[in-house]
Amino acid sequence: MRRIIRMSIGAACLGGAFLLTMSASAQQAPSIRSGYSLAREVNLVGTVSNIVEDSKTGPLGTNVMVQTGSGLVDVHVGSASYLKLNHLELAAGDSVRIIGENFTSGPNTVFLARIVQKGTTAVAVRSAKGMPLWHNGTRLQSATTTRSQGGAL
Amino acid sequence: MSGSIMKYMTLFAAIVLACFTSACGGGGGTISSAPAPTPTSGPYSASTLNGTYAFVMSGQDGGGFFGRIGSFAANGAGGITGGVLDLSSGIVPGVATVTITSGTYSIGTNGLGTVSLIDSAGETVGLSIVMTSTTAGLITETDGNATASGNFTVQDTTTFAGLPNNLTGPYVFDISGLDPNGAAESLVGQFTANGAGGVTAGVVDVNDDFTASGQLPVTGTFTADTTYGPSYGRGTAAFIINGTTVNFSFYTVGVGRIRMLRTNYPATSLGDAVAQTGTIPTATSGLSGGFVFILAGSNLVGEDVRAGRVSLSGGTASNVELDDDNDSASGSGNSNHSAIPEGTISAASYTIDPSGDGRGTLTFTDSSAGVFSFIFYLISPTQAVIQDVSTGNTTGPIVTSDGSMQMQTGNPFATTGEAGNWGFNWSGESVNNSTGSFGEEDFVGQYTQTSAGSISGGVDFTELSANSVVTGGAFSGTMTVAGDGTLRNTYSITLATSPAATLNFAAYLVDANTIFVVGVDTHRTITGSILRNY
Repeated sequence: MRRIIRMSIGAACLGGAFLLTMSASAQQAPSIRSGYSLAREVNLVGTVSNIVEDSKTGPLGTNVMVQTGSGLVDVHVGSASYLKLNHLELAAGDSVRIIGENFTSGPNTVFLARIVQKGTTAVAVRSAKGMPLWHNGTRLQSATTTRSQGGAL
Repeated sequence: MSGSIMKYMTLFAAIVLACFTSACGGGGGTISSAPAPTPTSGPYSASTLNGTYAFVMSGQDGGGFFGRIGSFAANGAGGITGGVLDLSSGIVPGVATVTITSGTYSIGTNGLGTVSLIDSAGETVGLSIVMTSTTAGLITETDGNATASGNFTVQDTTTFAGLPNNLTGPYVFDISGLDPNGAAESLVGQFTANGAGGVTAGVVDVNDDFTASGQLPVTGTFTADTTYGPSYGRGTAAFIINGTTVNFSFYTVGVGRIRMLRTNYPATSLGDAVAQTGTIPTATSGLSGGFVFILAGSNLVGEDVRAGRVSLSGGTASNVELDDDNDSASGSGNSNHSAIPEGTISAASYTIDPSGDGRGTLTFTDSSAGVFSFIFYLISPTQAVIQDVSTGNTTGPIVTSDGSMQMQTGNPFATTGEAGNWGFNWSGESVNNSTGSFGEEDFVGQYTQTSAGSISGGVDFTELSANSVVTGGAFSGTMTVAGDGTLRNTYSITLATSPAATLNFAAYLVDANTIFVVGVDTHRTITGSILRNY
């Protein structure tokens, strides 16, 4: 799977279909020391409330506050500059779909994003194993190989 | 290649520090600094840097993570007379081999200085350095085009003509960076060079994308570069790891050490292979004493760095302490620091491979933080490379990182014993308090510590989160050795910048000349080493 995903997903995908997804904070979240699990992933659909790079509650890096039908969710997307390098800039009021998983971060709860989508542009910020990808910058944009994830040399 | 260079030139101007002051003298971007005191003593000068030096560095440029290794020749009088470098960068993108045509350098009496490398494309790489001996030093890139940390060491040019056949015997290697998918990878292992350009009987443990491979077989070849090999010790290597070919460029330091850069772009990993020396133990009885380790890599929330120490004896590990920076499972801020033990330690043990390849494992369980597991390969009975495969509270690795492990010697330690002159290089990430911006930062500096623990010195650094480079900045601080110094100690410095910044560390003393540090602040993830420099 290519890490930089440029899917042509219709705007409808951001609509009602994903409203069926669960609230990011509705379940007991595991500790970050429990690792990432695709089985626990959820789709988060909402509107960007604000972007906080100096978050006091989430992990180091860029956090996006997303207003969902179930409340405000603190989403860690890694690095705003990485999203920008991959042609995805977020601003307050943007409709977004984010695939990721909810974790406890100390006494707080944070949603760690794996894929961030705005309109038809989606960017993978973590691997399927949860590995941060934002240090890549632009290097995967020219990659032509498609590889499986996890232990791939 | 000329096309790549053209593109490299075109894009280079558009990268990291967009609105950067041109001189960088004493500051740039949004941070300014009081000047460092003029050094009044020390053994260093321009004549110190006289010969051919192999360097390795990595960091962030406008294309993301990048790696750069190479060789430059210094003439002992402030001139760079030639060289070559390999650059793996997302800006190009790809791996380019570029001739260094000229350059300049300066070195103060305390070992702090600058190196400017001008390549055949007309690009200039500006580095701040600190000499840690008369033959080696530490690097931070401070030209405003990128940020990076690394080191350099003098090459034995008499060994260049014998490549690759003079690479012979067992070597331990540690290569880390990004795999072709952009996930963090770490490769630690051991191979035997057969003295004819071949790699035989190798083994490697790969932790790639939070997946530990177990021990895999390695074979391969080394080939001398007919263009750059005779003057700069350059060559190429191909390792076949469990059927997959992994390519490298390399530069030889001498027959006992080569510096390697993975060239399967977009993968970018780099590190060293070092000849095994001494009697490598084949049982736990052959490895005992205190050991200090330092690791850097990634966890689920981003960059993760660790330092710690452990006592080893007869297969049992004890006196375990570890500091984890950016463990967001604890604390209430960002980049949370965890001090282990967090709960109680149990099941602390280590193993040694009876085959004699130097492989071993170290494991302990913290009742709160979970399972910590490491794989190491001994370079000698007192030194190893180490890979983190800790599983925390789950079943697979929750970190991908690696680093160094060294025997702790010269203890008991005391604050007064740490007095003297030191050089350092630290690397990490930070959030700027004023702008809220997030990015990599790299520091190189030198200081004098009094017997009472007071620190005063000079520092150069690049901080992407502040869009700034500071050169010749002053700082002060304190080193406090706790008890006999074999466990966690405290180290703190305050930059004389505007705005001021204080960096707090946990410090682990390796010996009289080496300290490993890891940050404990909530808005910064940072680690590095401090080496006595005279």
